[in-house]
Amino acid sequence: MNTDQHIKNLFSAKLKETEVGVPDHLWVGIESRLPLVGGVPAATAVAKLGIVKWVAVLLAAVSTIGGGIYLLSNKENTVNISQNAESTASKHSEKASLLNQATNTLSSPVAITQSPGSAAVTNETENSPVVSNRFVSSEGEVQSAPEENDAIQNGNSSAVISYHENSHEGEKEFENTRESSFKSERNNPSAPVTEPPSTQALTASFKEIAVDRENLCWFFIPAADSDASFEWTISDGSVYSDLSPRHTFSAEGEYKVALSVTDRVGNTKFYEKSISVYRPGKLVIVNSFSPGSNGKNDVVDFLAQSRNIKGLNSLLVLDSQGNTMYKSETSAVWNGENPFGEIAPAGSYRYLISVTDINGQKMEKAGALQLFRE
Amino acid sequence: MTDIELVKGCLSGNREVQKALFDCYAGKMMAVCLRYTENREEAEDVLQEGFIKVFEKIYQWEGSGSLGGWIRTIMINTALTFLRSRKKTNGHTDLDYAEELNAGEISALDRLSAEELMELIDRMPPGYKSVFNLFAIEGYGHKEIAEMMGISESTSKTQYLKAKGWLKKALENIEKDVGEYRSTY
Repeated sequence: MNTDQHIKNLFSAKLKETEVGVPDHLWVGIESRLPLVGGVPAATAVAKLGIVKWVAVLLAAVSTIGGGIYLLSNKENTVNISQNAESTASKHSEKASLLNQATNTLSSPVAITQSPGSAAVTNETENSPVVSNRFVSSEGEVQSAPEENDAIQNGNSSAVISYHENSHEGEKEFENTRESSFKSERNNPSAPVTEPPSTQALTASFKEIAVDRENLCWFFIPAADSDASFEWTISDGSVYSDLSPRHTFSAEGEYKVALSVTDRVGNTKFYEKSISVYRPGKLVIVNSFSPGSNGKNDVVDFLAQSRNIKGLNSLLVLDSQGNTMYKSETSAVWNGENPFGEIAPAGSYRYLISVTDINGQKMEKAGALQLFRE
Repeated sequence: MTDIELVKGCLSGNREVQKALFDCYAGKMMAVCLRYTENREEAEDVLQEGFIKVFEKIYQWEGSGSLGGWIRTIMINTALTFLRSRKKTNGHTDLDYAEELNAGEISALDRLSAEELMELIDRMPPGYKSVFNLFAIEGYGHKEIAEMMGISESTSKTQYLKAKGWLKKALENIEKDVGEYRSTY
């Protein structure tokens, strides 16, 4: 095998599938630039799936009252939208966020009905040739199963609900595939190391690296000569005689890892240290609640369903106008009252929560929460 | 969720599915972005740009190839566009020698963990980092790389040779570091 082939094999084997932790705020940034739920992509999907024009007309009719008025008052945007399909997508997302700001709604039902409609209105009025073109050409490339059409024809709400369920299953699935970040590795120094005596040449010491915290997979690297023999004993009963074993723990917890190094003349050194094996924290937050006293979802406990969280740093809940509804550094429970002790009106509220997980890693999450009145 | 389900949900503009797709691929794509850019901030910018393109263009996905591969291509192109737009002016140190790596050095590379290799690439000068990434990790040929980056094929080959020269040098330093690390015990 030549050198280049060797380099290719080596680097792609080790790096092509590598994963790195991604902070939550990146998604928040992306989300803020995407069209509203059920927005433009839905319109594109409708075209792609070859739904006939009347669906667009219907949607347009539904929202003329809301989105239509806004669009008419903003001629510049309307013109931008009627370019080619690709650039409209990005323009739409700008428009969607403008629309969002203008109406001051945070993915409320009103906003959901406005957005697809407004896209359709624009296409109908400004650039009908393009629209019909897209519909015609897409008829040919329909690869959709009937259920897809159903989902769309049945209206946005049913489609959203069914995907909602899927995504929860999905979340569990993906949970297992997320890997620990290198960054968190650096931020989480190893457990304190007791210095081994340095009087003898033979040394037994090692450092541990969490290869994949999510799957409890760890790697142990000795700081000693490799011509000695190594025996590793882990307090879950596992024994290894490799130089650098890789071990997957079956459960979270505190473990002891012992290394015994024996050189060729039979001198043995022993070293043991404790390591904390925990999955990274995970914030799971409900998306709706109904304050009151009927005993069902009366308060939101932002940490109730979360995993491996050591403590709260801060929690902030804002209403759609940006007014602070709740702010705390000690309690992650909001009873739905505003700072004046009144139950806040029904609607969508934004939260920003910061916590520290069991491994000492700081985590943040932002999202929306629907408040229903009993 | 399967790729098809993810794409269907994204086409309907479902936020939860978009998030699921992001969660599924962001970790791997972040690793890709980190390899092309110079620091974490740049990588995060490229990642965000790239995912926005993914959501905008998801209807273009053919359904024949893997979704991950398609997203990766978008991510790489976004990174290359970003690097071109940045027009890095601080000249990288040009290496005179472009020696081939010897067997000992290859096996030294082999002993490095994924994390260590990642850090190594992180430190590689921007001049040859992209070419090295595209050639050694993504598996593109010099002709394809030349097209993607808007450079000539011979430039791509030269940059790759320089990258190898740089690796050789870096490996010497690593051996020294490891020696020091071990001697501290």
